[in-house]
Amino acid sequence: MVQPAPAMTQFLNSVLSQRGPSAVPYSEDTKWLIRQHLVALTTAFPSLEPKTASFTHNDGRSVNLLQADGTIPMTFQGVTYNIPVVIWLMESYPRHPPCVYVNPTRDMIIKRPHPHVNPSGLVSVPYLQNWTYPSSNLVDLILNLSLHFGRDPPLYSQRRPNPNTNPNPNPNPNPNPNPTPHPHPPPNYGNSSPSNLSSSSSGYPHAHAHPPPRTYPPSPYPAPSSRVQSTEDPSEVFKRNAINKLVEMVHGDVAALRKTREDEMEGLFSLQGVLKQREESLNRGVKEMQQEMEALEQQLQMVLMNTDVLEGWLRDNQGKKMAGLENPEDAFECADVLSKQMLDCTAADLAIEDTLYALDKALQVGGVPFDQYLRSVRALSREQFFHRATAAKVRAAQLQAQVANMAARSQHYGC
Amino acid sequence: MSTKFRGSQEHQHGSSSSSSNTSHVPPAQAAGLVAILKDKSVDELRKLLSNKDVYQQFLSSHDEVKIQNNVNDDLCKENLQLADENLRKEPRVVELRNQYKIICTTELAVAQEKLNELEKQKEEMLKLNSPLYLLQWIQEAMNNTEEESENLHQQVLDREIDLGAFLQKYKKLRTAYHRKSLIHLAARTSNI
Repeated sequence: MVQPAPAMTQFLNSVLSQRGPSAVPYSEDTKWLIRQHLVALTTAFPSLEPKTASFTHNDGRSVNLLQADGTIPMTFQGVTYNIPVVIWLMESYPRHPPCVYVNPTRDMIIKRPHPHVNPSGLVSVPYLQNWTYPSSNLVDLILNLSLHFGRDPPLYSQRRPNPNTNPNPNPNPNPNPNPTPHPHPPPNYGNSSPSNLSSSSSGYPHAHAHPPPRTYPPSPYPAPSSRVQSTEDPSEVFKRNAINKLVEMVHGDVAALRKTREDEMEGLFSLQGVLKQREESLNRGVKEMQQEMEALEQQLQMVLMNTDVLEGWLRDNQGKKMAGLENPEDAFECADVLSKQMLDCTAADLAIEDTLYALDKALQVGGVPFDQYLRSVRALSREQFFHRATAAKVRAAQLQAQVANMAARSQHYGC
Repeated sequence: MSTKFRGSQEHQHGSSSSSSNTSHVPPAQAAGLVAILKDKSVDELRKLLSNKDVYQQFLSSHDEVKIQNNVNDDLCKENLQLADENLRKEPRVVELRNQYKIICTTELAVAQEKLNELEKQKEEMLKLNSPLYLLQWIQEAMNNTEEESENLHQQVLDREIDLGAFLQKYKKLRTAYHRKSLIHLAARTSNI
């Protein structure tokens, strides 16, 4: 830093002290302040370089002015970029703000619409609009621009990532253009100038006149700047590249991990389904077994109960059987007393009839004497008569009972 | 002049890099990661790039990875629980099977056998006391009485018995016979 100060200071002293047609049009009482602003600027932002150049106003007037040409560092999404700009110190500077133009290269395009940069590249920010003499200065201006550009970059590239490799070797050739500044200024300057800026023929000879006597002094100036930039850049570049690579690595790994996890989850869900099916199957089986057990218990209880009932019945009826019937006809009873009398009389009558028949047979064979036969027949007939008479009475009684029963029914029907 | 050229190219590089990031990585994820990585020093970044373990550790601390791991762990835990519950049902099943076997082969079989025996006795008893059986019994008794009467009649013809005694005995037998016959007829015609 100590080295560029003298060279740049000599340059500024020389320019500001000049008289005549090539003199810069700043008032004498402000030249000291202008010198201070430019010295502070180059100290804080080595990437910006003070120069003199011809500025053509809209009305056609050309004037030789001081400018700061170079790049403004800006941080966007954690990465540091450099925005190329030109800062013109107008005739009324520093009482009025300088004119700042974004100076895109061939590969860059001004974003439109942009809140702070118009299509021509002219920059408009509150700091410039609120410029106050003598407190406003170039260093604060650049810091302010850096913040605004960081929030909303004004430039983007229309090229593919491949050209990115070019910037790395460029810092090295920086000293090379310095020994031969003559051929570079015209084409690059002309190409990159905004519509409001133009290089007149008078400006060119002036630039040509300056390089020869100052070829040596500017040479040490850019070298330290380049070195400082180079020292800072490798670290920043590496950090940016590392972050980019890590972001991509993490993204790729997370995607791969998600895929793996999804497959695992699918397997686990299938397993869960199978396990739940088995759980249902087991529950169903256990329930069925329990139901079967209950049915079995009920069957057992039923059998035991039936056993008890049968035992009781057998116990009761066993006694009955032992006391059992001596005559089978005793199992049947007559409906009423009359019926029983009728049965007895009829049986006796028929029995006597059979006995008489038997006597006849015996008499024919000569088994019994005639006199005994006659006596027996008389006795049996007499007995038979009694039985038949009783039967006749019983039948009459039964008939009367039946008639009474019918009468009772008829009376009931009548009611 | 040369400084401007260098700066321009650097900007171009940055711009392209940003564009490249946007196309590959979701913006939200990239922004989150950049915010974390930006705070790290160059040495830390170099370590992340070169050391596999450090990188894996960093990856594990990522929120998205944590979420996925948690979900996976929860599902594994749930599956283990289901499997454990299923296995714990086996003793229950074995116990039920044993009880079933015991009841089938011992208690129920014995009770059933006893019941069958009693059923048999009941059937025999009912058979002996059934109306049909009684009718057959009466018929048999009638036949016996008839035969006895015939024998007695034969005796009187052969003069083996006194007439008076014969008459008394014969009349009694015939009375019994006819009584049985009438009851048998009535029983058969009734609606028992």
